[in-house]
Amino acid sequence: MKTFPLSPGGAAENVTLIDNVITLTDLTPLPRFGLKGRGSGAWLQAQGRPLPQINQIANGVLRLGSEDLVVVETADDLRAAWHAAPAPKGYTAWREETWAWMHLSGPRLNDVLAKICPVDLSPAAFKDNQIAQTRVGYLEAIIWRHTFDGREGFSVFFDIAATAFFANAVATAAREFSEG
Amino acid sequence: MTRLPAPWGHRINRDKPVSFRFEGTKFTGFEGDVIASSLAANDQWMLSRSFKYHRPRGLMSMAGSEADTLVQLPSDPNVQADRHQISEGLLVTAQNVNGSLANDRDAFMDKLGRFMPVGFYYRTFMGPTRNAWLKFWEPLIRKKAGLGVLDTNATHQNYEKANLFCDLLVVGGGAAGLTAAIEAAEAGADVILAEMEPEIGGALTYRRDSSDLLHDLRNRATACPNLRIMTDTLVNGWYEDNWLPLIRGNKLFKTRAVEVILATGAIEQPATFRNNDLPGIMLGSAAQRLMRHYAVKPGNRAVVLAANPDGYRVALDLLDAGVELATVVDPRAGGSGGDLANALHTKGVKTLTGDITEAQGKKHLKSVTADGTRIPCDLLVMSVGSVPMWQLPCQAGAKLSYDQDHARFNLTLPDAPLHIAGSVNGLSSHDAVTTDAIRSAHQVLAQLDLPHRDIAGVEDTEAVLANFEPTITAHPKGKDFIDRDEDIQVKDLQNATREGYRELELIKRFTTVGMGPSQGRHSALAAARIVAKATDRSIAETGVTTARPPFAPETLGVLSGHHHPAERRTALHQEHLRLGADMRPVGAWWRPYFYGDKTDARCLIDEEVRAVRENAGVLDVSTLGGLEVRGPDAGEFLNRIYTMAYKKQPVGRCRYCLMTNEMGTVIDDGVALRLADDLYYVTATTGAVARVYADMLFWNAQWQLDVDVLNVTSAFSGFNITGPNARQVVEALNSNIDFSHEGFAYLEGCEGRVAGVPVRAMRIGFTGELSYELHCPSSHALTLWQAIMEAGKSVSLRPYGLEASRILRLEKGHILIGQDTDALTSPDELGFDWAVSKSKPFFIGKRAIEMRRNKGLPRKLAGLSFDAPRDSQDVPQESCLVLRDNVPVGHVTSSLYSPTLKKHIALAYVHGDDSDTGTQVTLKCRNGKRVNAPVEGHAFFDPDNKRQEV
Repeated sequence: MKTFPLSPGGAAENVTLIDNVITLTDLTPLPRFGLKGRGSGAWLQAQGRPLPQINQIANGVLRLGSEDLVVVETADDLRAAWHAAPAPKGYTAWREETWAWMHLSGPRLNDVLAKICPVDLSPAAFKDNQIAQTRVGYLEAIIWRHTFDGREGFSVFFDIAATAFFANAVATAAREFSEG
Repeated sequence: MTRLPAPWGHRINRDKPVSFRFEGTKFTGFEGDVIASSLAANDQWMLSRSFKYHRPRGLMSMAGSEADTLVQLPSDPNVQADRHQISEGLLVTAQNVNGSLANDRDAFMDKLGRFMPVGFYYRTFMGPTRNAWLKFWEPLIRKKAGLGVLDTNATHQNYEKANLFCDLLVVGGGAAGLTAAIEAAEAGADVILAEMEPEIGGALTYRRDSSDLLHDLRNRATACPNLRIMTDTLVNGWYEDNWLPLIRGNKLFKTRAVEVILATGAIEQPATFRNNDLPGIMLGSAAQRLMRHYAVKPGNRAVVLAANPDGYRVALDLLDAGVELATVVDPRAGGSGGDLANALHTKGVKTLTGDITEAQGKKHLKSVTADGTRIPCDLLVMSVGSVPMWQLPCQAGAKLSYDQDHARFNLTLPDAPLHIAGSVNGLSSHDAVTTDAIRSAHQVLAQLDLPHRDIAGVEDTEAVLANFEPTITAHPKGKDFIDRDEDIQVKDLQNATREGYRELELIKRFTTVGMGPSQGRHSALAAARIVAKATDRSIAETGVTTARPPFAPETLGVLSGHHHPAERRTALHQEHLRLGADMRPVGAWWRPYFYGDKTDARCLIDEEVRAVRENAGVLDVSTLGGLEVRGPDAGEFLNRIYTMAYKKQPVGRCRYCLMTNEMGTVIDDGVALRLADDLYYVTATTGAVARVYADMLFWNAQWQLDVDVLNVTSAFSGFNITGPNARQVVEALNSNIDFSHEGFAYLEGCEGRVAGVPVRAMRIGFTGELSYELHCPSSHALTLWQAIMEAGKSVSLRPYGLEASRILRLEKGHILIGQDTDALTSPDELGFDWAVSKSKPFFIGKRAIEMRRNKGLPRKLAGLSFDAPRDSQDVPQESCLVLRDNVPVGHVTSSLYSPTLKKHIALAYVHGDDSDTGTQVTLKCRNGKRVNAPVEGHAFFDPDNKRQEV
């Protein structure tokens, strides 16, 4: 059985995710499949997955580099196909183990993100299909626009070992607004 | 407390009195008052004592520009009294006083000026007297430095940081800034306007005949939804790519603007004459700020030194406020007050053409001498010119030139998305300033591809009259201050030039002119004039000193923001807590230090060591760096990165990795397990893995090999089961791996499944005992750990922590990179020549290692042991010196008591000639005692490696 940081027995088991002026939702258990290295893009395309430009997301594929890709939808099917396929097919990037995945939304989302992310995430500057590889919550992170469960916001990948730290950092940044 | 009637004093709320204390005396002001205004309203004009001579000082600019208004709050030193608002119960004291402000015991220093020539630092610390530094000068200077007193018990405050972005940042909310911001915003630009004052308007808020324009601009600004106005906000520097720090209270806004308009205004300059620093002498704009902002009457009988139209406007303001005007002194030949002068004359005010040579008074102005005539007064107002606020433009690359005809500095901008507007651009009248701002805004709009139009440059007839170049001569009795912060007089600068200093940058260092909190705002122009004259050059040739950020003092808290020490947890964090671990931060990671009650720490750590030596223990090694190197050229890549050979390493074998840099210095070590022809799983030290990964990416980009490198540190967790009974534990696991001696030899590795979990297994360890290291994807770590603990029940497997691990590794003599190595350590110094391939044509550091080897061995890491009681102080601890003929030749890198060997053991660098086993070396303990010990090998325990290979 898999145990993720916020699962019972997980490293951040007792950490409460903020849910007032900003809402943090843990998506870490959701499937995702990363490929990296020579052959990754060609193999994914051969599976009928068109590749977006670098630092863009399209059809559930995040392209972080020329041969650095993460699939966030129907990833499990792909994983099985990849394991069965012959090389060249890139190499697994262990993204489901390396990164935590959090969704941020809420009425003060922009104010809080302005404190924890150095990238201009305003709609005019950061389009729907863009990815920023930057720092969020004092951690190296990947961020993109994402509507989850009907809530507009952003999704963030970051070091899974820093899950508790990230949750606390976001809550600390939001305190200024929740305290009025 | 007396105040002028409304509408004077629009910033104060007369319905809300506020009481506070200054120097122990209770004062009352109004809500909206600053400390200096409320004190002035109570006839308390003296605020501080000067830095060197302890002369009485008061407000001069009312703009936070000089050190004279710095005061002490209980937890905040160097608070600007002319900018900090009062609050109920506020406690304020004066700074840099010995005794009290009124009776400063150091006031006698004012009489000793001739014994304190300019160039104190140069004369004192670079000549024969330099040895007096530590005993005499250092304590004295330390006491004086910083003016205020830091409260080391200050309560915690929250400091925030945020990022802002905009099309246009306008710095300065005066007529020019407001106009430009509105013009750009109305055309569709996303605009931020930052103003350091609590209200927008700049000089319009206090300048005569400005209220209509101010009212109109404020109404337009309010109607702009895409104009963000930030008052009380200091723009404290300009950095590359239009990155500017905006500071508001305890919050730093890191702002990135596509375009910047600097509408920072001009800084009014003081005049130079003897005793020009007395309280009661102030700039014209300061008097206007006192009256219009705070309804404070700046004096009862005034003399106005007016060399421009603004001086005459101030005189008219003073009359309106009921101040008796003794005279207006105009230093310009013939005077040129024009209509304003006529207006004064009709009110019976005399205008005297001449100059002020001296002021009289002890703690406040009593009179001035103008053209040889002494004129009684308690207020002298100076309006003799201004300089553009050059700091931010010059930080951004603008050049400052001097217009001799109009006696003013001009700014020339670099070719950059940067603009200036208004009085910083040398303009003065409302019409000219406004037109210039519109011109600047439309330049920005053009750059932003927004609707714009071309607007011609501006002619300003009033600007021609705004500045005047006085003749500055040193008063025979001195005390004619150029730099009030540093008590620099005219003669000080002249003497510096006589000493041979010609360049202003050097004169600044010699005299300290411009080094105080005001950073030359009121001294740069006068200093340039004096130096130019003394060196027979033009002011343009003399220039001003370099402007660097920050513009004004900023607190360390603002720079720091929230304190967020990085924190990483292994997948077993909660499990360790459940087992009673004493968790401690090691770098970013939280790790178990030991398990059990803290009061029994030593005993528990000893037990954990014993468990490993006699039975079996398990350590969470998940913090180890993990890297995957994969691709057809993976072996070649590792061959170049590490010192040993990997290309022919068999699949299923582990090999030690030693990494050196181009200087041949050891920077990391680990183990590489070859899992397939094109796949290596490599471990790195916890603290260095990020650097190793970055280095690998760098070299991969250089070499263009067919390799992909991935940092999997967090993706994998690892557990090391070690001890004589370790095999019993792993063989009890439900696994498809043959853990037997025959099936899994020392330094072998494989992939398999344990308890249903995919694992990477290696027969490696750090303890010198039989060891198995199992790594698995972190989401399975808890399952694997629980299976290991269950399997270990039959032998009472014990988890052990970091401290036991440190002891075990030192007993075995394993080095820790970063602890037993430093920035110069070569493999030879570690005795690691066995780990350096002699046959490989290349690896990073190979050439340097060979070159260093040819130069001989300066030092070598050696084992040392000491048979002293466990708590003895006569044992060298980490960092203690190794001496040779009383000269330090090395130091102790690791030192611990071995519960296994019952003695102290250490690793230390000894002289290269002393590195043979048995050579006696001398070490100096922390208590100063010297002890001797013979050199040993690194491994104190099982030096023949029999235990780990069973």
